[in-house]
Amino acid sequence: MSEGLHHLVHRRKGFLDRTLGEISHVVDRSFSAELSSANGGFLQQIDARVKMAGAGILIFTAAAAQSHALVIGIWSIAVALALASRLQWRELTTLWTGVLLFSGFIALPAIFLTPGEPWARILGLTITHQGWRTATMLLARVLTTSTLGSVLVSTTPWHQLLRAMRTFRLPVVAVVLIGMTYRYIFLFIQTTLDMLEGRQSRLAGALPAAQRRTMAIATVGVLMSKAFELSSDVHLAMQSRGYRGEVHVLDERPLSAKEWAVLLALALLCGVALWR
Amino acid sequence: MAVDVFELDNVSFAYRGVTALHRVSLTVPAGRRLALLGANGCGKSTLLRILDGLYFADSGTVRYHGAALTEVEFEHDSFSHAFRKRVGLVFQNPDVQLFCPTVFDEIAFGPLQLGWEKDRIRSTVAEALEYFEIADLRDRAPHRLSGGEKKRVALASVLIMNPEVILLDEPTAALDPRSQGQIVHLMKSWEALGKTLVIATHDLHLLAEIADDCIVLDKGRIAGRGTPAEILADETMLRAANLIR
Repeated sequence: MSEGLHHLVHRRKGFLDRTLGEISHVVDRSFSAELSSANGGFLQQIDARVKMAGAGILIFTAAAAQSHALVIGIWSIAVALALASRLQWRELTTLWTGVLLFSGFIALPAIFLTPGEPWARILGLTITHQGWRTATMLLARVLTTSTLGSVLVSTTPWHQLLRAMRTFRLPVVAVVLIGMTYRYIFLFIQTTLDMLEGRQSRLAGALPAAQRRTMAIATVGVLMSKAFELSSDVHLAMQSRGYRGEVHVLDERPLSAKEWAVLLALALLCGVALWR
Repeated sequence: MAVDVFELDNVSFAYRGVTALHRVSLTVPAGRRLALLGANGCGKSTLLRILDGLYFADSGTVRYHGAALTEVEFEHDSFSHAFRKRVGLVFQNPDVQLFCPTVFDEIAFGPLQLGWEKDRIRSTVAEALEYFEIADLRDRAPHRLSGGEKKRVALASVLIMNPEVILLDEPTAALDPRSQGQIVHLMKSWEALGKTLVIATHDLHLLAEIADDCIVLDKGRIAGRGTPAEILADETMLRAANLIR
């Protein structure tokens, strides 16, 4: 994001400023994820398919586990992997704060409402052992799975994630559509920023709320129109290079025996941990 | 005498009732470099899309090596494949043309759709990356590139198919002087390869370097034709076509 835009965002707090702030935040986050996926840490060296399958196995284990120790153990592994992959501690704590607040809000009633042995009383409400266990288990699972997901996304370039999806039998056309959607969302974010900056630079003073709403609706209309025009042109560009309604893609190299062995060992370990 | 690659006879085209081209007739000889000159909105891009078989004339005929370019012809896989392999269009806005997740995928897209062998695609893409000096961008997302880099990737994505005809829509527009110089250098190098170029532009200062013949379009009509020297000497016509002040 340009310095001038930062200045605009922080100077006023109108609707347009807030919108600019949110949009630029999305762009910044995506860019920092792209940078961290290329910083040469531990997970950045590993094939995206192995990472995706490994994360899937660990997420499944955390979701199926009945013991706090196992879930916290998996969370510890995720944190260790994040640190070995040079992810920023601040990113993780920001994620955890959001996750704990959101799922804590959902889990809170379970502490009091789940029937079972009384454990403690707060403000005349009884906390049961079972309620406490259920709520903390939910929090631990959410924390662990979101950390695993975040580590995967932050250490893997987007295009490699897309390729990995293809390996796991997601239809090619779906993967191509997701890729194009991601790519053009960024183009439209940039277009929106340009439009809003252009408008902001011509505004003198605050506009009445009704006029601001009218302008916001007009912006959406213009963006819709640009989106239709662009989609038509992109289709023509695809046709021009031989697209005939069916997308063809390059095959991936097969996973090596070592990569299969790692995945198998992880699956076995998780299976044993769940069984015990 | 050179064979005509394209022959257009009284071609007209309108977008929802608004005329974009009116009774345009021209020929594009093989191995020549034809510049389409005109102000914004004069019909240059529309004409290129008609030449690329993306739009079809409302009236008049368009022929490619004698074969009529019609929607019916493009429904046949064999014709469509042969045509797409031999004619490539580089769009004015690279963001339209760069829709894949990485530069490598972008350049490989055309050959994949045309059914090339996978190993041949990998090696040819590697060669194209070197030729266009974009090997370091191989795994980058196209939307993160600069304007000049995007343009080179767009050119590589078309040139990889080694088309005999290259249609270029404003190839040097909105580029810094260095990027502009690189693109002009590339275009000049294709002359030696015997490529037929049709270049839509309003950069008059590049005309002598990039074109052998010129056609001036004004509001969808042909306002003049000749060599770059003849066109640049006709100030009255250039002024009428809004190309000079």
